Amino acid sequence: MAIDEKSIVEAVSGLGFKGNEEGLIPAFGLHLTTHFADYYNRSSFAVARAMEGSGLEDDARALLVEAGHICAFNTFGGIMKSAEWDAVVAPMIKTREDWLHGIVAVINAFGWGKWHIERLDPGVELKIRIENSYECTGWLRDYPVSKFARCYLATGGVAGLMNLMYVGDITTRPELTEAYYVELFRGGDAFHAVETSCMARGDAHCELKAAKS
Amino acid sequence: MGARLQAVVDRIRTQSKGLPNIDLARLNLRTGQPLSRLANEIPDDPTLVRSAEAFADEVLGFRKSGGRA
Repeated sequence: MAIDEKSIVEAVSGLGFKGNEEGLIPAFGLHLTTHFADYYNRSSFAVARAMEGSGLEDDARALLVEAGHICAFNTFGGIMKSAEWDAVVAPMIKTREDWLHGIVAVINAFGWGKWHIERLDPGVELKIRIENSYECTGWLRDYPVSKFARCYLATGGVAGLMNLMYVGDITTRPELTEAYYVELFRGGDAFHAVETSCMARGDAHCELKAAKS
Repeated sequence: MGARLQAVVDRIRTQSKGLPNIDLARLNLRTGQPLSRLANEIPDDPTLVRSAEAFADEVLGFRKSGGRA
């Protein structure tokens, strides 16, 4: 594999993200935020927990995962079109699948847990293992071991990676419009992910699998 | 029971511009009722029907939701 994850993590970590005079962090073609991981965790877990026992649990989960889809589309898509990507990752890319190895390296630089591609069957299936997912570490610190998987954002993110690569084609640098989102994520050809193992549920690590339904 | 609510669910299911199950999940959370699964068993309470219809109009693009000024 051509992707040198250690170099990418070091390069991205050294970019020195900080707010500009408007308090914004323009990077990777996006505006990033820097705040406590628990800001997101507590918001999403509050929604999920409030719905438990109401009969609306599955609806809440579907919408929290949908938030992950939208995040993946804009954030991962934006990163893979950015000048920073061109400078740091693109020179290492030899194959189409290297795009996925490259974005996983960038994700690892962001500190969302340690993502690892367990299996990639191009256009068919992606299996990601996450050590110390921040969603789960937050859950386990604040709540008892869960009956349900809790990596909502990562679940949407893993599906999003496959949709960006194999339903659409992020390598051609498409405009990330709402219409393109609908085409990638809402067609019959879209990938969906399930979390087959989750630390919040007592598993040793989290494992997510994206495939077409 | 729930004929008008069922009609709202059917409208979203058939006219959704994206994934109907996502739009229906939003409908359920917005109204606090599992309408997508039980609309025909839930009484057509006028307030609930108004809320569901307003959401359907919003999600199907007939009316914009409120936003920041």
